[in-house]
Amino acid sequence: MSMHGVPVEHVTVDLDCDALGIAADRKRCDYLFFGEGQNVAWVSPIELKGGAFRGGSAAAQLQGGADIADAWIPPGLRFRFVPVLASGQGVHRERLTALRRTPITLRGQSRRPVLIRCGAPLTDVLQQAMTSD
Amino acid sequence: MTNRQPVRQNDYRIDIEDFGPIQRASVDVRPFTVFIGPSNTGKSYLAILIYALHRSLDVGHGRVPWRALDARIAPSTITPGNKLLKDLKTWATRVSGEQPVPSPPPNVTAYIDEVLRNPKWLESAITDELRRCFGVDRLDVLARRPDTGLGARVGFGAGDEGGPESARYEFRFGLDDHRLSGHVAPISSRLPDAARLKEMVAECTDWNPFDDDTLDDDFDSTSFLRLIVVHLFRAFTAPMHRPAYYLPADRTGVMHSHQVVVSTLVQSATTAGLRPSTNVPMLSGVLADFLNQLIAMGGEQRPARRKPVAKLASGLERAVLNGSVQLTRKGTGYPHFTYRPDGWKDDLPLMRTSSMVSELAPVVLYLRHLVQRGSVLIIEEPESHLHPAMQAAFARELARLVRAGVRIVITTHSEWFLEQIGNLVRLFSLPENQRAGITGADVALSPEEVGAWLFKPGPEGSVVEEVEVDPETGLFPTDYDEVSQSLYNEGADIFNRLQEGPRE
Repeated sequence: MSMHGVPVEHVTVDLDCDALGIAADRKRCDYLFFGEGQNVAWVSPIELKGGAFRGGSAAAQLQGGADIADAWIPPGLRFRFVPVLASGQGVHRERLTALRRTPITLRGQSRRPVLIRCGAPLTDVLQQAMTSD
Repeated sequence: MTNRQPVRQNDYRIDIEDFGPIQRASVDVRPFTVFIGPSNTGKSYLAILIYALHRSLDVGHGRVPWRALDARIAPSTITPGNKLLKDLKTWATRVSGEQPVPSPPPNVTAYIDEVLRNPKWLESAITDELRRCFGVDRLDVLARRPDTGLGARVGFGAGDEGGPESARYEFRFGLDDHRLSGHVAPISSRLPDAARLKEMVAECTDWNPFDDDTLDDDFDSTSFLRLIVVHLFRAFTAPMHRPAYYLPADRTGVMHSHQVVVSTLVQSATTAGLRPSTNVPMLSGVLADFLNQLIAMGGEQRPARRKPVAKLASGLERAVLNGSVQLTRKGTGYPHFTYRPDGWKDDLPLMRTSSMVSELAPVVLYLRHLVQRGSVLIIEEPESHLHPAMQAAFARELARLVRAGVRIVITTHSEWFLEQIGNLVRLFSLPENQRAGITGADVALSPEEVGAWLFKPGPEGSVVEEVEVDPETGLFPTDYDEVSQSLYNEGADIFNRLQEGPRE
C-alpha cells in the first residue's frame, strides 16, 4: 500500500513487532495507522491480503487491531475510524458478504472495512472519509 | 503469439487483428470455450466469426465453394497439354495396384500444394459468409479501422504457422481489397489412406480394379483431383468444417415472434410489385439461420450419431425445465412449439410460459433435431432469464454435451455460470471415489478441455487474453470482482455514514 500523500502527522505501527509485547496467539491485523490532518484524527487498522482470504477471518483480524488501538487511544479523543482491507487481487462477492455482516467496532463506532488494492494510496481512503464530514 | 503453445489436437486457433471492436486476439477454440468481459468488447463478434468460418469451410457439403474450386482445377487452368491430368491418371492406376501406395508425382503434389496455399477459390465463400452472418453490405465495415487498406486480419487453422502437420490461413480485408493466403504442411502427411484412395478412384470411373489393371478412358481425372483437394483441405482445417449452430442472444424474442416475422416476410413477398417498395428490415445471418432452422425443424431423419446428444435434450428438460418441450406441425405444416410441465396433461404455448422456458426451449430443440457429435453449438448469454441455480444446472448440462462430443462456445456475463464451470474443472482433479455427495459430480471437465477468454477493453480496441481457474479460489479471474468491490465500497460508505449519524 502506498503511503504517498498521507498526513504529515502520522504513525504506522507494525503489530507483528515483538517489542509491542502482543501475545503471539492474539488475533490482530498487520498495521495500525494513526494520523491527524485538517483538524481530524484517524485510526485505521489495516490488513493486507496478497491472495485469497476468508471475509470473516479478515474481519476478525481487523477487529483484533481495533481492540489493540482501543487500549492505546487517549480517553475522550475524537477520531474517525476507518478500517482498511487491502487485497492483492479481486475479492469474490461471497467474501464481501462476510465483510458486510461483520462490521468492525471501536469505541462505539461500527464501520465496514474499506477495500483497496495493494499498492493503492491509503490517502484515497482517508480523503473519502473526510468527504463524509 | 509466436511463443504460444501449439494448438492441441482437435482444437483450432483464431488470430485476429483490428476486427470489429477487437484490436488483438489469439484464441484457441477448445471443447468448451467461454468468452467473458464487458459489453461491447467483441465477444459476440468473435462468436459470429467462428460460426461464419465453420460455414465457409464446410467444403464438400454442397454449401460453399464447389463451383469456385471446380473453376480452379478445371483442365483449362492446368498445365499445357494436361500433362498433370495424365500423370494423375497414371498415379491413380498405380494406387489401385501397388502396395504400399506410391507417392503422387511431384507435379501433382506441387499443384495440389499451390491450390491449398493460395485458395482464391475459397475467398468468395468466406467473404459472402462474413457479410451474411454479420448482416453487412460491405466487408470493410467489419474492420476496426475501415478507412485503411487491408485493415483487418483473421487467421485460422489447426496448427501454428510453420509447425509440423499444420495449416494456417490468413484472411485480410479492408476498404480496398481482400486476400486469403495459407501455409500448409507437406500434403503427404495428410493423404488419404490406401483404402480411401481406391474408393476415390472407383468414384471417378466405371473401371473395376479387380478386373483390369488399367483405367478406362472414362476416368475423370478432374473429379479425382477435386476429391483429393477436398480431402486434404478438410484434413488440414479439421475440425473447422464441422457443422455449427448459433443461438443468438435474442432467441427468446424469436421464439415468441417467429410466426409474425415469417408472416410479414411472406406477405411482403406475395405483394411485391403491387405496392410501393418498402424497406424490409434486414436480419443478420445468425438470426436468419436461427429462424430458418426453427421453421424447418422436425422433418429430418435422426442419424445414429445424434442419439447421444438427443438424449441430453431430455436430460436438460429434467434438470432445468421441469417439463418437456414439444414440436408439432398441424394444418399448414408450420411448427408449433409448446411446453408441458411435469405432471400436466396439457401443453402450453411458449407465449404463456416463463421466459426461462422460452430461453431454453431452442436449446432443447436444437439438441433433439440438429446438433450431433462433432457439431459446434454457439450460445450467446446462456444465463439469460435463468435464476442462478438454473444457470449452474445449465452449465453442468453443457458440460455433459462436451462429454458427448459437442463443441460448446458461449459468451457470458454470469459469475454463477463461470463459477460452476470453475467447479467442474476443479472437480476433474478429484478422484471419482471422493466425489460422493457433490452435486452433479458425474460430470467434470479437464483444464485442457476448457478455454476461457477475457475481453479487456483498451484505447485501441479490446485485447483478448486467456484466463485459467485460480487453483486457490477455484474461480476464473474476471473483472466482476472489480464491480463487486466497487459496489461493496459504495455500500460500506453508505453504511458507515448511517452509523455516524446526523452531521453536527
